[in-house]
Amino acid sequence: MNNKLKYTATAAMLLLAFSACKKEENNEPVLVKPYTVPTTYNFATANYAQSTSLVQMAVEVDAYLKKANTGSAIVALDQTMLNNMFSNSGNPFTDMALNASGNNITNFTSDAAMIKSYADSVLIFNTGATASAGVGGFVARGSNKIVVGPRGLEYGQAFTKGTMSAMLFKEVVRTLTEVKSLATTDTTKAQAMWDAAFGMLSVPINYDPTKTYASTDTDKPLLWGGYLAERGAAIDAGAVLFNAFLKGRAAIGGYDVNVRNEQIDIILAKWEQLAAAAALNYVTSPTAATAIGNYGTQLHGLSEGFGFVVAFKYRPANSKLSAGDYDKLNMILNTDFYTLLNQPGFTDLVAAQNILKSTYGL
Amino acid sequence: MKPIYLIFSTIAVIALSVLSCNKPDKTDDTDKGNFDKTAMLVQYADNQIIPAYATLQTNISELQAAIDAFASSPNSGTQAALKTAYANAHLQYIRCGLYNFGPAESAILDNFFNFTGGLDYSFTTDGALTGFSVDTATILNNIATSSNNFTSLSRASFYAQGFPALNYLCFEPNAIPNMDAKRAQYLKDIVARMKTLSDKVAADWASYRSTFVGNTQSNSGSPIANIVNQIAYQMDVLKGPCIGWPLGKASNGTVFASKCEAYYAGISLALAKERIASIKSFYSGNGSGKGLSDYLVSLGQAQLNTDILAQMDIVATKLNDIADPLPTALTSQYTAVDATYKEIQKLVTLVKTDLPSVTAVQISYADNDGD
Repeated sequence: MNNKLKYTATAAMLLLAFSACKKEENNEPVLVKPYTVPTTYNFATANYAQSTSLVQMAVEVDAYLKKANTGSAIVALDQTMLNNMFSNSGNPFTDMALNASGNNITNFTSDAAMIKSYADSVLIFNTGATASAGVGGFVARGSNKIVVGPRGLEYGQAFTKGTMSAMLFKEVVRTLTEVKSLATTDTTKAQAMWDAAFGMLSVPINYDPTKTYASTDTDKPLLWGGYLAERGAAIDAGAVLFNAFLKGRAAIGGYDVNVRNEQIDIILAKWEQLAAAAALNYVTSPTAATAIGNYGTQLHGLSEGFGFVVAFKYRPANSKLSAGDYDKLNMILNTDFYTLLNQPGFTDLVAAQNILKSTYGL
Repeated sequence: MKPIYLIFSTIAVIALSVLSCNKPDKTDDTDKGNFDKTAMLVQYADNQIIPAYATLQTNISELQAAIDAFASSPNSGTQAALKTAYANAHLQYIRCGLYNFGPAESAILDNFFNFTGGLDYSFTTDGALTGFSVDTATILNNIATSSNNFTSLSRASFYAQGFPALNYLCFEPNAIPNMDAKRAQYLKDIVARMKTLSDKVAADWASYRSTFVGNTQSNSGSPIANIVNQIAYQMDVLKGPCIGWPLGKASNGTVFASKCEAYYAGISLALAKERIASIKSFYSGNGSGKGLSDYLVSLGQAQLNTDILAQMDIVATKLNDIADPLPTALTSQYTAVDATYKEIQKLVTLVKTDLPSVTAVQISYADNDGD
């Protein structure tokens, strides 16, 4: 064997090595331009102020609803205030920039009436009555309480996790799916939509997946961003999502639609898996020996699980979750929680756990 | 050019292509040193857990006999004998309470035997069913109606059976004059259920053992994660329901003496001492050289291990400074109990924060989402 043959063979193999990482050649006439993937989301034209404002409004509504949970006595909430927060009228937010943002969460939320009814129900059952099966009211949780409905659903969690699902996640799926269909050279629109999706994650531009952000940190990841560490550590959600957002954003500018679309698939699959990991945790923790007999803990957990399962309604078309399994999950989480928590062997919750584990490799 | 060269370059390129497509596998950073984790788990199963359940079975049988004697002839003699049998069984259960995973968790043993009330409840009123309460209303109603709600997964059920109910029915001030046929039957039903449950858990360990010793991972639900979680959990129980909450740490200083563990049997302090002794024994593998403590040393955490063991000794010493009975000491020796509480708090930090961190275990019993 001579050197020429050796080099030819090596070159061929190298070509194979790199092409193995790409999808088949596309027929776009536009050539890929050189681009670099940065380590922070400091793209010159990046703008996701609208997404940030939506996240912050949801955080403010969540905080307002949670006032009812303080202490053991009734803390009255104001329905008008809550209505104004949903419609962003009458300067309802403590952050004046949100009041002036021109956005409101209602317009971006799917099934908005349903999600708002969860928030409204916090006020309806904020009565001081002791909750039990069939009776809404208060359930002690530590030195505080939670407000639940007749079937044990903590409406505050149904709102917050439901909003993460029906607004933030749904918007990400909608936006990035549309980006996939954009022309290679339509970079301005693609970048703007990409940024909007990134903003829904609510992490700082220099996000560090290995860092533990203090609750006092002004850069603290919010909502989904917080869940990257809270429930996503085992599936490496923080690093995978952040890196995919960086790479895909850079690829758009480089006309590299293959990489762009690959990153979209990565983001949507990982984000959905993150919702599944969170849901799995919350349909499992209420069955733990340390939670049994403790309705405050159990109902709170199930209510979070309820909100995360809402996300699957808005899952991408190529989701691993079958329609049949989605229906089963949905049916289980819509069962009276007191029934679920008193089943011998927690059969329905174990069934939900198994669907989530097998579907999402958890 | 030798063919072998081509083979090497081919391998190199293939390796490169594989690496460039996949992330490198996560290395298991808990696997430093040559510590034999399987041997550790075998030690726990064969020398600590399985024998502990066998002893518990014996103790429950003896308790059953003592209850039969007391029920048929309620007097101070049979009551005193019953108290010994009760204390033996309850103390042995404290040792077993650390093994609340696998068979015990499936059987929900801890809730049915010795419900702690959960860590998410603190004390606000004397009547609230929290910590080591006894649901006397449900108990008396069950007796009056000759019924029970033992299998219900509710607080009223947990507080009306197991040690809380036995402790009340056998040792409340009027336990002897109050004895009658219905009450006797209820007592027998309680201890029969405890016998069934402890027999089941002991039997289930025979098959669960291979699962337990065969999994050396540290992920959620693994044996090592369970061991770390249980040590932390039992420390939280010692800190809250056993000492801190009765002392008023969650109620602006209002003392709840009657919520001490096994209040009527008068062995609250002995149980607290047994709890820390059991935790230390579990953590150290009973000095076998094959315990979690040895695992920590193999991870290069000798100092943390020393700190944990030393703090466990300090807590034990502080508990020894308290004079029996604990319910009285909560007020008469507030300073001594408070000093104990503070040392317990330090130990909780070590075993709930530092220990999980170095063993790559997540504390799973506490909801850490802050909402």
